[in-house]
Amino acid sequence: MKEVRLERVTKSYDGATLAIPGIDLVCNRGEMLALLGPSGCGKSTTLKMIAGIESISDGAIFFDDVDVSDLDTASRNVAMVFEDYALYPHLSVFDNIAFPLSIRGMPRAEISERVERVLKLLALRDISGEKVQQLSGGAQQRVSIGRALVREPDLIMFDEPLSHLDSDQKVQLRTEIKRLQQTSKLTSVLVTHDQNEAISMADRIAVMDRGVLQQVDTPTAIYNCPANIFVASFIGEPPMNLLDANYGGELFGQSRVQFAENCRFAAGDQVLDALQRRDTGAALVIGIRPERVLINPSQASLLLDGKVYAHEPGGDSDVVTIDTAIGRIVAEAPAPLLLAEGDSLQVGLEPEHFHYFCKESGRNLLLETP
Amino acid sequence: MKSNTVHISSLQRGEPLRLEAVSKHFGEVQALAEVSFVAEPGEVIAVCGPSGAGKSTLGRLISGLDVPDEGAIHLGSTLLSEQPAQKRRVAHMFESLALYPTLDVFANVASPLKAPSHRGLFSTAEISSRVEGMLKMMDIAHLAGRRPSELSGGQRQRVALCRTLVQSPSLFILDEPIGHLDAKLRHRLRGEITRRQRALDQATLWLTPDTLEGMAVADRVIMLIDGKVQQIGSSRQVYAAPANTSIARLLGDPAMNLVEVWLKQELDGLKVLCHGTRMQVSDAFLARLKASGQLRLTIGFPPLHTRLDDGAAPNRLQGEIYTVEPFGKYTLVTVEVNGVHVKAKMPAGFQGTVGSSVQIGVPVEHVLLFDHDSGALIQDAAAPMHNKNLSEPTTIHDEA
Repeated sequence: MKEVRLERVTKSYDGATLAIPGIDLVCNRGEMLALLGPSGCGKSTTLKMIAGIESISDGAIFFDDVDVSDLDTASRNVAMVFEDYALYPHLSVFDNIAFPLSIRGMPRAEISERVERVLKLLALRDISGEKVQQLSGGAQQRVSIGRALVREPDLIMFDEPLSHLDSDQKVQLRTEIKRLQQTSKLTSVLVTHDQNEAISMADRIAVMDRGVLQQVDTPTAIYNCPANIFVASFIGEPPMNLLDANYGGELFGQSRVQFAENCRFAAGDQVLDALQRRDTGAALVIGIRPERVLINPSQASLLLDGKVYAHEPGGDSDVVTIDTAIGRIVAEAPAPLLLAEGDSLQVGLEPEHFHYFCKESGRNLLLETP
Repeated sequence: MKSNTVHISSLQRGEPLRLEAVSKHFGEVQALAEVSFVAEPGEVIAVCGPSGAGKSTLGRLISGLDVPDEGAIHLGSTLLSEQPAQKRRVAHMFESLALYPTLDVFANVASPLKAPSHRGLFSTAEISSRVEGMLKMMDIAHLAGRRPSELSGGQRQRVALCRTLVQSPSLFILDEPIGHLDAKLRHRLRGEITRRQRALDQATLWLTPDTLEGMAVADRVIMLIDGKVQQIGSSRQVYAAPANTSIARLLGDPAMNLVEVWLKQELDGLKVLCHGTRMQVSDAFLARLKASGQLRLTIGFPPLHTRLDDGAAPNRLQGEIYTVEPFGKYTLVTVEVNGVHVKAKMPAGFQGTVGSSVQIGVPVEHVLLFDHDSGALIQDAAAPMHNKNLSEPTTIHDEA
């Protein structure tokens, strides 16, 4: 398998506007890199450019040190796993997996050896003789992964591989792909709009919006330190609370931040440094993950009166939307909570869990370099 | 005309929807088998089940797009199943959306209000303000002049949702209403839609394959699997005590762990085997398993309360770490026990090496027992739903 490198790759469909204004991105050998974003963010275009299905307008794509920008799909040795499996329904599991080898005229003994290896890897041996149309969606997608692997490609592309599956099969196949990735060290690119799939399977995630990379990092780093407001609100379920606030200057060595007239707090040193470094206005957006919002705590740095706007029971946790003086705040707390619409309660916030963004640029203040 | 107006206003009041043993076949396939339930006025009912369970068929029978083979559908005192579709006044949002391609967004949303079913109900000004309010709620007011072909999938779904919710029908049916939306919008809208629907006089059926979404929006959840109603209850009831393993597999994120246990008499006493692996059990738990009167059982326990590396847990199983998935707020660890997977939701910082041996602490206070063959829940006295401490909702007010 090979390292894949995109250097200043752009894409324009009409020659005037850039759908992809310029991407620099590396998928390391042996890692799964997820391209994640809302519909229309450019993730599928990027995937197609890597696969050679779509030409690039400028820049270059390298597989290891070979520039493949002008090679067609067939010459790139890339395998695809599609959303809708794209299997031959009348062929058996074995014949579907053997197909890319048999059309190349590979000797039968070698085909058989390679297919057997893949069948074993994907636990498909017991059903190798069955027609694929009789299989569950999850099993069909395993067959299509097998068909991709058997070619021994330089890169595997997964295009929304779990979208057509029911939730239980989704969770199951997600785990299987993750395991395959970890044990076989495949180099792969995953395209998905579903953050859970990206977080669960990928080693690193490239979050995209409107053709531009927003952040490329491990799932944990992205969750704990989102680069900007877009990433903050896109990653995490329920989404992060984003509240308007102001930097009110320094007093007795502490930087004061206020949400509203009577709701201010002293931010720590790191935040103070970042706030003083800024040359933009004082307007901030403060992010708080719903699981960090406390409901009726015995104590908290910031206590707000609130009223329940909506209460949604969940499995392990309930989601409560609360109206407060500083805005509507969503809290997630262990289920079951005894709450009803209109109930009064207190909301507790701890500044140590706050994420600080510049309202104007949207960027995470603590990630800005001095 | 006059009698028609009277007829409509009588339908304005909320009336319960009642299905009695409704069945439907498509050739050899039984799509729905004796489906019965009641939806009260203003109630939001989620119909949850995997694809192919019969959810959309159920919606189509109620709105009159298809005819049941057997059974009756009542709305209050009206026998709905005897009426043609256009007289039923059901606001139905299709999974396929079915927007008018030649009309812009505003006209699509306004279209049902200009149809015969709404004749005389709203003035032109009222129609405009209703449509505008709805577009605003769905964040698509700026798209009012666009055609459906100029919209993204998520935007089209919101137009269809507006066109359904804007009506003043006798019943709402929403078939996967928010499935194509991004997480941020989905979370905001599901709260706002249910708030709005509960304040109305009509019942809403919310069809979804996403059980967690169903639980979040519904007053009651109907679990529909293989065309049969398998359970009806509040979200909390269904989650705490799923009637069988098929339902249990659809609940939670991820669903509860289900493993098979076998009580086996050995020389040194009664032992518990789990997929061929010896399970350490406390006397109390062994007594509970014995009391079921069965030698083979399926036990279920939630990943949330499953603990790892707990060599001291009185009830435990040995396995090998299969995968580690770091979801920001927790880390999901899958452990393999003789080919069977057990999942544990561990704290975010959990470090585990794939392939390493680990002890699974089985949280017996959260264990449900299921019949090995039928999969039916065994309502034994020690089951968590009978345990007051666990089944009582947490009161969140401080003692002070």
